Amino acid sequence: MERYNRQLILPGFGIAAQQKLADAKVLVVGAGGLGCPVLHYLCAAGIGQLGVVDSDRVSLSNLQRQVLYDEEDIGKMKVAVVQKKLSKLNSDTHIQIHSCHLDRNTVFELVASYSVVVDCTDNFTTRYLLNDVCHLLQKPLVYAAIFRFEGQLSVFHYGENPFNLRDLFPQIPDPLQVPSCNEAGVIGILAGIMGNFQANEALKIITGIGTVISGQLFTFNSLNYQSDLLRFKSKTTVFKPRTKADILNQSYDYSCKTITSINDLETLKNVFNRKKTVLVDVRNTDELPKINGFNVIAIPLPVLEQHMEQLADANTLVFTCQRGHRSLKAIQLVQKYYPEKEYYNLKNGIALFAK
Amino acid sequence: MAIQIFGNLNDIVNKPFTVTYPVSLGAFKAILHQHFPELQSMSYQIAIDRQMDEDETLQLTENTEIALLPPFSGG
Repeated sequence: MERYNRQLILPGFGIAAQQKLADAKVLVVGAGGLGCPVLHYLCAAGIGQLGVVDSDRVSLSNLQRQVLYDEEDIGKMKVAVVQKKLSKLNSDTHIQIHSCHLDRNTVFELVASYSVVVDCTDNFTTRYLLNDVCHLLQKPLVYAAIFRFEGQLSVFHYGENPFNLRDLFPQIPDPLQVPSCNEAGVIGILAGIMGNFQANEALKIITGIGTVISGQLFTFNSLNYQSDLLRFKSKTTVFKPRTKADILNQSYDYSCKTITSINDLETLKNVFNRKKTVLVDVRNTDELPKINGFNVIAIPLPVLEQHMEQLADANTLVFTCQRGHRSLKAIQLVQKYYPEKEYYNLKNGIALFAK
Repeated sequence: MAIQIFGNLNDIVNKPFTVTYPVSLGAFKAILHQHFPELQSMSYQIAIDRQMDEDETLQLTENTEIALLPPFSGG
């Protein structure tokens, strides 16, 4: 117990709290900007079983905020790196890795196996699905989300009077209205701050010390330190599933999935490691330079709708144009035909290949 | 009085506008949407004195703290 001495001697903590940590099973969904600090600190604190879900590989643009990874990890599965690094940190903690994408096929079994869930995802589809499943299975959900220099934090489905993400924001917002970190930018330190707040809430839920932030939204601005605790009420008129079927029948708006932006060649190459990936060039036929070295289908935007069948076989579609604007329009068009495919946009268009 | 604006709503509610208090929450929203039509299609909540509220008859005065909050998705 020498390892945990500094927390064991805290007032109200002690052996009993440490045992609760050792008995806890925490699922961290997303091993990105929020997930890295959550995983790191919960592992250090002695959580018995730490699950991590992420289907992505490490890319260069992750390193600015995803602090468990280093340059040698680029191209590797994030969950494999997490397991390797955290196993060295604390052999008391069993790291269970899940390299699947969290969706309706995988979420129920995953969430059911854990006692606390931490939402470190980066898109509304997964956030709302996770929220609804945690509601159904009555699992405390530690929620944080970031935008530029601001963060939000709350805990849902906790205690005798539980609250729900849908009490705050009832419907899944249109992702096109709320840019993701990939599009809006984020400072790594803010992800670290908010992730540490999440780890703190998980620790409080498990040990019973302090007051869990349930029924309140904590907001934090890293530029001016303005922070607020805003209360909200439980809503009866919003979607709260009573059965698994309710969730399976619910729309999670897969038709307007977050479009992930690609801004470096390394990430593009990683995306192309997946099977059935196609680069769709929607520039007009006379626009230069031509793209070499990738599986390219060229269909100019004005005639895209007439050639939709050319995209039918691909699982992952990466769109590009000269500057990254027409390609975004193209994605919105194609998503209506093929809502289940994965979509990426080359943020600055063809300039990517000039680097 | 100052209205606290969070996240990407700062990009939309980006110029001063006049409200004559007291005003109901419903009328306040109507004024807001008139000045910033883009807000109508956006998902956001209003906190009145640090409490999210949707009761449109609620009366706001010069001393009421108003905050506009969008959901964030980043992580």
